[in-house]
Amino acid sequence: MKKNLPGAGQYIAALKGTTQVKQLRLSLNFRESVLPPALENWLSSLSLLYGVPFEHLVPNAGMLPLESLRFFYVDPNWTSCLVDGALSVGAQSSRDTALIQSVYEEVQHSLRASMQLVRRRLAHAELPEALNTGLAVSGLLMRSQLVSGWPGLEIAAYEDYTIDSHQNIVPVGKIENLRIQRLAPDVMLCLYGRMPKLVQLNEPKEGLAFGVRSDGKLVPRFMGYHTDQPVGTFVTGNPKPEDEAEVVRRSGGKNVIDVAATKAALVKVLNRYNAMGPSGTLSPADFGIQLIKSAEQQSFLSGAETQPNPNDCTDY
Amino acid sequence: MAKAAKNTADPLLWNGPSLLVPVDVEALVVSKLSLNYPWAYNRMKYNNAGKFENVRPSMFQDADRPGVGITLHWALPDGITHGRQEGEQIRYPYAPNRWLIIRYYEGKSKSWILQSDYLDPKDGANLFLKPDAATPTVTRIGKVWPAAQWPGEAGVSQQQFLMALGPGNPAFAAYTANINNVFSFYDDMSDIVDKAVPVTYTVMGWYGNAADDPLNNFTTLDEWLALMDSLLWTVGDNNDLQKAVNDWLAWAKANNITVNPDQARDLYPSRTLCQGMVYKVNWLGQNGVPQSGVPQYDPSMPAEKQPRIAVANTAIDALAALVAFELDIEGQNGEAAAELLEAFNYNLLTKYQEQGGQYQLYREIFKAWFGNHDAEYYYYIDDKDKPEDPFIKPERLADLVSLNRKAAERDLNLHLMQSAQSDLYGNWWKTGKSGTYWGKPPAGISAAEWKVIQDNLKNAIPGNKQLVSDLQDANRKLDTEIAALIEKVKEGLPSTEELKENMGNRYHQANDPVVLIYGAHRAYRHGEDGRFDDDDHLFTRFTGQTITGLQVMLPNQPVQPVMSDNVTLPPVSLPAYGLVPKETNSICIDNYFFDTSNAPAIAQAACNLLKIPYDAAYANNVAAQQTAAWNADIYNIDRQLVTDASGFIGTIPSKVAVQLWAAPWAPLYMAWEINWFPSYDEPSKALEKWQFDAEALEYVWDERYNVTGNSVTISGSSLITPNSAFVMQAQLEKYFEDTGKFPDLREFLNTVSQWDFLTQSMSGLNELLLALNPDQLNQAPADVNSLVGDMTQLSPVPDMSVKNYPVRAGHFQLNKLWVVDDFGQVFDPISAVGQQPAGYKPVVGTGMVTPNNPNLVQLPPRVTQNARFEFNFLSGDGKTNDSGQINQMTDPICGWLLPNHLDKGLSLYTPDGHLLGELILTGTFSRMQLRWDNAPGKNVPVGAPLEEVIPNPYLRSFVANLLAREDSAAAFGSLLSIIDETLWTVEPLGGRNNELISVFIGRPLALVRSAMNYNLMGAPVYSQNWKDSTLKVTGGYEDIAFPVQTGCLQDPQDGTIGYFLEDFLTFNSILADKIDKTSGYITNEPVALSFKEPAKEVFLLVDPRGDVNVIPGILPVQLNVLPGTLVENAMSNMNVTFRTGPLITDPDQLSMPLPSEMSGKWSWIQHTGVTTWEELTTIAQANEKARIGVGYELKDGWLKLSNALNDSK
Repeated sequence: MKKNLPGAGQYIAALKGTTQVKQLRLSLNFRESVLPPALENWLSSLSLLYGVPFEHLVPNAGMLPLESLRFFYVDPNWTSCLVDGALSVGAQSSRDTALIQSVYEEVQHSLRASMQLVRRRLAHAELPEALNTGLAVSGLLMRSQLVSGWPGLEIAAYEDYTIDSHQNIVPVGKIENLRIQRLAPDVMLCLYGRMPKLVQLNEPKEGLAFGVRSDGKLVPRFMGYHTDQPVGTFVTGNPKPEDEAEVVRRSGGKNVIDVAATKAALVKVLNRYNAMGPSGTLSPADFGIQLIKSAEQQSFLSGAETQPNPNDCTDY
Repeated sequence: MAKAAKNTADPLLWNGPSLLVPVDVEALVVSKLSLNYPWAYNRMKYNNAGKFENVRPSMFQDADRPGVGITLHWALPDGITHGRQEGEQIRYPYAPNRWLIIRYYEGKSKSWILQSDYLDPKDGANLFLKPDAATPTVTRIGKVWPAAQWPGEAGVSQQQFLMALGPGNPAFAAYTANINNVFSFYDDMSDIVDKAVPVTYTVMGWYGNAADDPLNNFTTLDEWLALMDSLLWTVGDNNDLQKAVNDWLAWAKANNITVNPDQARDLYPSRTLCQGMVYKVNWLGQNGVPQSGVPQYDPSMPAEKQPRIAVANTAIDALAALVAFELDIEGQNGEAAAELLEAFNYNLLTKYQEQGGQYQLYREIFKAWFGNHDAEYYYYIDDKDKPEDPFIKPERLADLVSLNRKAAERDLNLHLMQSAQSDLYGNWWKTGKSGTYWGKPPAGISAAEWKVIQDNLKNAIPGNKQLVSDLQDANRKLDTEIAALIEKVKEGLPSTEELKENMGNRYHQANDPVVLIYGAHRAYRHGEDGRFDDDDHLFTRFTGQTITGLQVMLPNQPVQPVMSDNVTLPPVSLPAYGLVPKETNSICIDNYFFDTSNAPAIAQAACNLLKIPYDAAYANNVAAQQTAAWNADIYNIDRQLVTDASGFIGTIPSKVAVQLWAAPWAPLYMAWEINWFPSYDEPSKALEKWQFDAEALEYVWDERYNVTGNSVTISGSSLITPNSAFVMQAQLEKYFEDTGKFPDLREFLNTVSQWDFLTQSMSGLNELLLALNPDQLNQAPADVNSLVGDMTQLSPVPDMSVKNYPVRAGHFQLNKLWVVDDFGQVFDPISAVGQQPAGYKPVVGTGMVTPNNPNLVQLPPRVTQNARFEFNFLSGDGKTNDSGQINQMTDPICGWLLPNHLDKGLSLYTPDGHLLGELILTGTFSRMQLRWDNAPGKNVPVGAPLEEVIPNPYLRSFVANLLAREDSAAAFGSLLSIIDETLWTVEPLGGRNNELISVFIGRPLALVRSAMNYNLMGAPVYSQNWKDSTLKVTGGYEDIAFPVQTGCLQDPQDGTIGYFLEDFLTFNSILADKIDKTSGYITNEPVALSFKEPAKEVFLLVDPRGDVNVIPGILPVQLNVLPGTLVENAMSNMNVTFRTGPLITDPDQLSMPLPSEMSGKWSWIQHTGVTTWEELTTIAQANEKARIGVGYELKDGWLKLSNALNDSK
């Protein structure tokens, strides 16, 4: 019988040819999106190391001792292999692998996009209009009491920063978190889609309080009497010993503040920064501003400018 | 009509009504000039019966002609021509044996009565065989009486034999040449031989003996209704029936007949009265111009209107080829249309558009090229609960197996007995035939040889007889044993279980080629007389429902009824009252009012009654009324409305009963003659000029050869069966309507061709190729006749010049093709378009096209007799050789192979799914080695012999043979790549409910034990010529090794990877040439089998979700599929181990991520020493939760998944 069918050899060759593989893929429902949504979501989570056993990230305790912080890149080859491995579960012949190969690039492409949406999807948040095309995953892993003791600890990463005239760090370009998760009471994992130059750990701003640093000193703040002196900002972002005013206590060891002496110490520094008001004295309200203790912040910088000293924790 | 009412003594005047059954009457007008046409007016040569000569005449002899005059023929109602199955036999009803013919002409009439059952060797009208004679005895049948001289039943004898069938002639009642004065009447027109006069004939038929009447046998209304239904007759719905009874009662009253209303037989007809008429027969005198109904063509007509012949394997193939041809002429896509028709016919319309559907369609088409013949029944126990683990008690199973063996043996014996009966009959026939030579030997045989032949024949007969009776005895014994075993197996069967039987693999015989003739103008005379009514039943009337007058509607005049009393009926000369049915007069009146020749007289009578002057134009008004009832469109309207509208008083009959004359044409026979060019001289070389091409499913002609050699002329004729071969016509119309697709095809079928297709197979060709002749009637003496059974239909053709062709392989050219009708008229579609057979190019259907020669039709190799290809699964453990048919519990699986594509390994499992070990490649790339690793966790010493590890002998043989090879690594690599290559074409569609697991474990392939063999039905056929008598010379065709391809890449459902033969030395794959074959382990040797060989064991490697196609080429594709439960069970047991590592884990608590979607049990197997193992059954779910450990280790081992399928259900 004459048949309108390709011969066996032709058939195989046709199946293996690129266009046919494409058609084959089309016939397997890959037409609408490269991946079915659930699979795409799962694979992009996997690319964000969701589900990866922790011991495969930190095989030994020595690599993440107590009170340590590790910054890292995520090697895209490694995640790519991870995805490949996940997809290869169903690959039982060269036909299957050819099929996967033919779509693999597109899979990678769409994963790079959907990785950025995982967190928003989890939060049922609005999806962004544009996605980061130059994705390079990096992150930090912190094992510290900071994680267990400050449940509301904020970690923010920025693409860049500048130092303003008051020596304050001015962050530029906040980087969206791809993943931020506490993996244990004292272990925190954060992943970012770009390489940050500035990471700031912020104590949660939970309320207004009066207070001083544990060494009993404080850096005075501007009170808004002059232009370029916004209320509440420290007179300098990089205080030297002479920029710190001591909160003087009365004698008797009862920890009672010696208001006058303290006031004098403050005025001394404030005057040096030309921050006093027209009255020339520190009003009770001004005094109150000076004694406000704001939340603390620790910045980690990797830019060329390393001032202020990154080892110091500051209020902010 | 004054005779006393009650007259039971006279069989024709009884107290009940008759059923008036319409018959289709046609009249052939033959003038002297008509005799110049070709005629196939052939008389049966019954005087050759019993003389070893042909009784059936050749259709092409063109010798006899019908007489000049008018030949009248009526088609018996289908209810009388159709047989009914009664037990083993088909019984045919008797046919009416008395016929009254009245010819009306010039206001006069002439009448005759036919005594159709008249038998007399001296003065009967036609040669016939004495119905009750022990040996064929010639007599003559049929007699005509001038009606007035008819002596009545008392004066003649009534014979009980006349049926629609004649001796050796199924078309007896349809073909006029042998039934003059029986079911046909030749009117020589001697009284008006030179006049041109329109004439009208009335025909009435009845049974001389009430007991022969098919309506006779009832006592209640229900019985009567059942009789009517079985005869395909109706009077309409219940209201119509009531009206018919009322009409009859009124008639009876008017005719002084007393009716007992409590007697069903007095109310409902127990007598059949056939009646029909043909009016305005255009008799032009003996020298008139010829009037022929044979289709006429002119070569200048448009191509698509010209008649054409298509030859194909099936009717649908022929139609498809014709359609493709005709549409291609018009520049349309004929091939697509042809494929659509085929898909429609095989109900694959949706399927063939899917992937692989086309292959499925081709497989179906190919299958339809073969006829089926019943095979043995086998028995099995069916459990309604469909348990997953069917169980049959061992004792019962043993009985079942024995039952099936005996049933198979009985069938084998039966076919052998039929062969032995043929031998016996053939030898008896030859002995008898040799006696007709009177000592002078036939051509080509010397006197000495002749003596030996005759002696051998005589001596062979006792042995033949003995063999037949031995086989009969054996089967009688088997019958008893089988019946006993059936009882035994049934005994104590649980209530949910039932012993059922099913037919085994049927025998197949290639179809005789089918010829389709387009433009031969098919007719509806035979077998379709119910076509004017809804449910294919023929509308009949009761006595008293005939037309008694006409409500004449003349322009501007009131309606004027004209009754029979108002007109002068032509006098009819009839025998004495009581010798013809009491309805005769009423039917004459009825026919008078339908005959438009009487229109002027009826109009005249109306004018007289209306007292207005006659106008010649009034005759046209009346004639229009008379024919209004036959207007085709009104057939779906209520009959009474039609009657009222047309003005007839009474009930109008089915249109069948009233025919306006036209020159008749009703195709009845297709006669053919071919020049046969066999492709071989010696049967053993039948395949020499052919190449097996499994992708074409069969053989293709080797184009290095030309079709040459001497041809053999073979001829035959087939009765054209009336039923349309194309049942899909209505469906197709709906498809066109719904989709609007293929407008050209629709146009061609419905408008251009109007479905004017006659299809008929060239039946008998296969037998003629075996040198067997169907045209004789001989009867052996009782001692032989009692043994030969039905094997007397075919007699040998012993001439030395005639060969037999046990393998049908070659080409033929159509030499003659005639369509012959009831009257012997001939339509020749080749000469009708002005062509000669030698150059004629028929349209040739798929599979029959001869490369480079459109004049020839190709018949690729087939076994001419019935044969089958058996492909059965055998028990995989090798302990028995019972097939799955003999023993339903047969598990053909030898083991499972699970290729690991990524790691280049092959895991082996027991049939029930337990891991045995793994074949794996080790070493460096430059020097790979194949290694057998026992299953992890098995404490088997390293290097333990395979016997201890792999219990299945076949699976072991596979592993051992592979390991034993010097190039085992290369061979293994080839095996893996051929598996991988083949899996490209296997679509994982077979949706067994293990898809989830198969994602994890891959696609386990089953190693399946099967057996293949060819069987002939009965013994091999042999040469029939004189010299080979009793020697059974087969020519060696049973030794030909026919190749068989296993697996088919074009079918995505096919799961065949390849196969091993018993030696397991090489692996065979269709794709062998696609890979590097240097190792020699992969070959492509088709299984080759001859009919003589016993079954060959073949070990298939298959994807259990797929089918196995086995393509024998000479027979239809065999499809087999693994029993689902076996596969499911193994899959559910299957433990899969994944070589895993390195895994970073806490040594005290192994943990790793495990799939959440997957149920089943996971465990971890690891070496604790060289041959010692431990299996950790608890694996902690590892996840991203931070666990900071100090003593984590890297581990290598095997992750094992067990019981996955069971738990996931």
